[in-house]
Amino acid sequence: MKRSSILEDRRKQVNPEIREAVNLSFQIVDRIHEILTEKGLKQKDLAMLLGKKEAEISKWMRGTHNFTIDTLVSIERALQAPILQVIHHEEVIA
Amino acid sequence: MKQEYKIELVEEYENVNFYSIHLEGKKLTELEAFFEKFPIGCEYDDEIDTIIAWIDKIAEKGALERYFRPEGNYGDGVGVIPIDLGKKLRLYCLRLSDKILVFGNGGVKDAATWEESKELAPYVKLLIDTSRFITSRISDGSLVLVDKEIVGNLNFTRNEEK
Repeated sequence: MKRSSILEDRRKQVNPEIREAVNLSFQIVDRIHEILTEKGLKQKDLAMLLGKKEAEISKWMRGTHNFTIDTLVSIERALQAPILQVIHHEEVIA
Repeated sequence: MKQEYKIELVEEYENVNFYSIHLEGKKLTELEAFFEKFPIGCEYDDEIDTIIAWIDKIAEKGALERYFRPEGNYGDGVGVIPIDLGKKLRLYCLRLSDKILVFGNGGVKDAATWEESKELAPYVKLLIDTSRFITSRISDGSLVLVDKEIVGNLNFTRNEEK
């Protein structure tokens, strides 16, 4: 499949932390989109639930937004569904 | 002044094709020219990294409307790559479908809106005109969107504003 050599060269230099941050932001917005779809809601409904403008929610949903914990908690509470989960490594006692 | 250009395929993926405008007489497409303007080590490295990471996610997921920030006129498909960092760089594109994205050029934001920016306005206007030309050609059947491909006459001429 065709690739641009100029883009390919620049891709190799991308800061892995920035790539990870964008990946995570996409995972979050796709999860929010999934919850909205399951509940038959639109972005404007989420805006209303959060007391925000629809334009602000659209801005969040584009895949490069740096979500704060406060924002994620408010979205989880508004939609009554989990977005992020923390992994625990529990010690197994023999 | 007449400006001639064509739209050409730049990158191909499973779910989406990336096209870009190629101005007559220029060596690079507008997308490639944008990245050449901001080489590694410049003050916009982080923003360029974000743009590339976003482009790569679009390559994976498709050019879904919800990932784009509209920037041209209502419904013309012209958008800007959203970056929530620094907020200085702008790269413009034309979203024709979930599977076809046409990249233009961009630069550093130097005014409140693109209309007020001497540097950015020509890039957005070129995409707005291109959107109009494509819509017209689709209507008269001289151009069709087939899955990830734009099929038909991809050569354009426009009167560039001074």
